[in-house]
Amino acid sequence: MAPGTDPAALRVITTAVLVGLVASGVALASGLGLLAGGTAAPRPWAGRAPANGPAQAAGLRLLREAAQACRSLPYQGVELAWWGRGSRAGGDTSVVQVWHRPGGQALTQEPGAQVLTQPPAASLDGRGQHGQPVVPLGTGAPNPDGAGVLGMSTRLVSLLAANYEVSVAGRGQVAGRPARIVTVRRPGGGVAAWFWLDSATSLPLRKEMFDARSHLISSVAFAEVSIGPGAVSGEPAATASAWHTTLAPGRLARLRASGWPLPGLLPGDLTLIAAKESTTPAGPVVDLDYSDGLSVVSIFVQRGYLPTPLRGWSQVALAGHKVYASDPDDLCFAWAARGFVYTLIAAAPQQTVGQVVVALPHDDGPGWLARLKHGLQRMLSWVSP
Amino acid sequence: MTRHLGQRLSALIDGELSDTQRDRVLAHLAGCEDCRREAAALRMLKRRMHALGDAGAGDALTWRLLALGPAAGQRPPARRAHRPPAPRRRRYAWSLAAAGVVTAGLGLTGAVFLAGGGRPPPGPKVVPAVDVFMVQHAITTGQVPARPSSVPSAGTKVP
Repeated sequence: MAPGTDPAALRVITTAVLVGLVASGVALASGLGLLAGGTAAPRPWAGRAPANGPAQAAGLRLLREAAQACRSLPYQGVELAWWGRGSRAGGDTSVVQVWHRPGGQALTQEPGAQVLTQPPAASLDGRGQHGQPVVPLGTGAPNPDGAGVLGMSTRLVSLLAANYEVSVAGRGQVAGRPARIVTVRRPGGGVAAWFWLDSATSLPLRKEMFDARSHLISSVAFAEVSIGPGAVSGEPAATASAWHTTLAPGRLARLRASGWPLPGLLPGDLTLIAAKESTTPAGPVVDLDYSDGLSVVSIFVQRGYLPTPLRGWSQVALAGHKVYASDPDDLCFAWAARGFVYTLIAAAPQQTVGQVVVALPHDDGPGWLARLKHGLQRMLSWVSP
Repeated sequence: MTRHLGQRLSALIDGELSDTQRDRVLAHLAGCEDCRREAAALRMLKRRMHALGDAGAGDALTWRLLALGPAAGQRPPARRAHRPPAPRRRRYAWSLAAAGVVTAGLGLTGAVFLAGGGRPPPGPKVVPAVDVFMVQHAITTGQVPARPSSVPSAGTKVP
């Protein structure tokens, strides 16, 4: 009898092939995360006890007054903004004119450019604005929690209190006005930010942010400012506004259930503070905004894939992942993974951005590996559409 | 000493005898247990060969079946000498099994690879509207980060 026709050998061959196929499928499926389910597991970075004490209380009181001042005071001025990437060399500087009337929105404009506005922050914490559309600019509608200039709002102060140690550091001067300086420190770490708050009104006049290595990464300061009745005049009309559709928690849950990757928490104690939705010719796009009180990271998620090459963008390696960068000096990155396109824009330390990029889905690896993953997904979809 | 049927037994099984010859052979079989046993073995061999329908497999089976009967002495020694020893057959079987696994793995990988190409991933082709996104982010932050001059901006780049 030929060995190939031996029933025992045939059984061995059949068993070995089946075991090999099953093992290969399980290994590939595990690699793709197809067997892990779509629910997000509890993240180890969640939660950190804030510091307490009189110094913290005094610092937070000043910051809350600053957030209130941002909302209620009329002011007008010129800001100088610098944003770097952890080094004093390089970075970009902007000159911006700012107008703000009580109860309205802060308008920012460069000479000859369109006007941006500070709309109401779309809160997801159940306090006030669930499901309500963001108020468009130029309507004169109230702005109960407007971010204002220098990124100060009651919501951000609350997050800042939860994630940082705050203290009053002393006094200084900005744009010829006396100011109190508030220091924001990482728990057990170095300085994360300094705020200069107007001594008379508590309006933020200057803010500097540092990364975990104590490198200055951003500085925004009034070069000149007028505060009080009669200070505001000649403000332009708003020509840009925030997306009107704020995602209610129910809508968020439905999107998540249908496969949209919309995390509520990101590394670096970044909490989801706003979620908005808009429509493009390619379909809906969701804007998720996260903050720890200082940093703000916006992630835009939409279904689809990126063209290759992506014109106007350059491919870079960030935290071990290949992504596209819109500009070397901007923290703006895009990539596609698992049927979604992610665009990340950050006002945050680069380390934080790297952590966020790592936490989001990626289809990394050699081209053949990505093709294998895609092929397996497609074949599985044939079996279970 | 009784003279057995020999080649006539095969002819009987194959239906190649004339009526007269068949009567004589059957008469012999009635009184000869050895020839009956050999006839039964030959019939079984013929049935199994029909069932297998494969010349190669039948050849191997033939020698095994013939080993059951009294005519073992008629087996050609040269054919026995060509049978590989048992350990060698096992190695051959394992090699064949390994080749099967490798072939199946390569085939599956090739199929997955082919399925993963050709068509673009699901969903529309998307070019991020970075200008719009930058504006939305600036609105969210309340800061005015510097941005490319091509982007609708609240800030002016200065050298």
